Amino acid sequence: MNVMSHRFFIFASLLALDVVFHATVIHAAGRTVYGVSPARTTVVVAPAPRGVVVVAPAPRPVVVVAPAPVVVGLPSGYIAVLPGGYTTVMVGGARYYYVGGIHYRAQFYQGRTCYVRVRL
Amino acid sequence: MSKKQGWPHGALAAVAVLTLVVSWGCDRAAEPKAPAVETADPARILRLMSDTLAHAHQLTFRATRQLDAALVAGGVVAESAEIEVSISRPQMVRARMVSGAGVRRFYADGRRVSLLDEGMKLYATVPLAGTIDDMVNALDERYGFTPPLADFVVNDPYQKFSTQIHSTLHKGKEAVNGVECDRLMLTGEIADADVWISIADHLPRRFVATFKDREGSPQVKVDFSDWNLAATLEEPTFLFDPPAGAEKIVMAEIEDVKASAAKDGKP
Repeated sequence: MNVMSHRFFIFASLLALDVVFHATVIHAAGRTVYGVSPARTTVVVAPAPRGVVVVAPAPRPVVVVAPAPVVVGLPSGYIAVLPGGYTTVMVGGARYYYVGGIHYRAQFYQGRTCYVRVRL
Repeated sequence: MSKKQGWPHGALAAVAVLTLVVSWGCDRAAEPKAPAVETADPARILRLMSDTLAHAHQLTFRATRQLDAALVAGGVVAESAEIEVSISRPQMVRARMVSGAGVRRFYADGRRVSLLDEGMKLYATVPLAGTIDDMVNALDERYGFTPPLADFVVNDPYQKFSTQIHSTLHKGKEAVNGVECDRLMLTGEIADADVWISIADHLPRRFVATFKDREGSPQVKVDFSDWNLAATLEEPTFLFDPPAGAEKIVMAEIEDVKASAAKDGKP
């Protein structure tokens, strides 16, 4: 063993000791972090049907910067809040919400009440 | 020849380093004028908090949570919520959350998970058996969400935190609502978080997470209060009974929504 490898061994040992004392290195494994879903799993980009206002963001050019611009959105056809003036309609025993010529059906999406555009 | 000369040099280097380390330690211990500084181990403090929560079989607490708008799915404004949580380990959780979006309830009884939107009179129930930790993981995986403040609710909070942090740092002592706390910084890949843990009872008093992967570094802020680690909670507390007139709706699975969106996106 030469001098360099001895010095390297000592340096590596000290470095390892430092890591053991000061850090716990475990990489993130789950989807949700501190109760917040990663934005990349909530954004579903799809062409919006004509004449329908949706909350989902329009497709945008990909720009590689850090941190990447990320928009928390809902899938196409989903809205978080019903527009004012909606009426409740019962069809086949199920409840729908009607407003602006569009019918919506409620569902829980990522733990929140959302409304999905449907065709009756 | 050069090989033989290498040993003394290496040994000298090792002795020199050890001498430095020992002398550094001796100097610190011998400093008479320095104020007595208690060396706080952040991992130990986090472990103590986790153990305190984990060892409480039945507990309740309240929290005020503020989510920046960028963290609210489909939202354009920040959300402030008052949350009440009841836990009966190892399987049951109940939470009530009041926010601008209305009143929502969450039930997990060890066999099923139920959600209720009180204002809209909507509910969903899905079969999810197992411990609280099993339930949290399954909800996260299939439905893309977790119960409110799940990191502090699970049976093994330390393990839950460990999956989300790379390193911990003690940032000193600070008072939160009059309670003296250790402040820890938890550095992670997606989010960095600060947590204030009471020195007296080892319970979390404040939690602030900053998401580094999003524009504007949005935050979630939580203030904890009314901890009761000796609560008496009967099983019916965690059983969901749909209120009269409430309609059962779908709890959408992430993969189904993705598949449906992809299908709708076809020309």
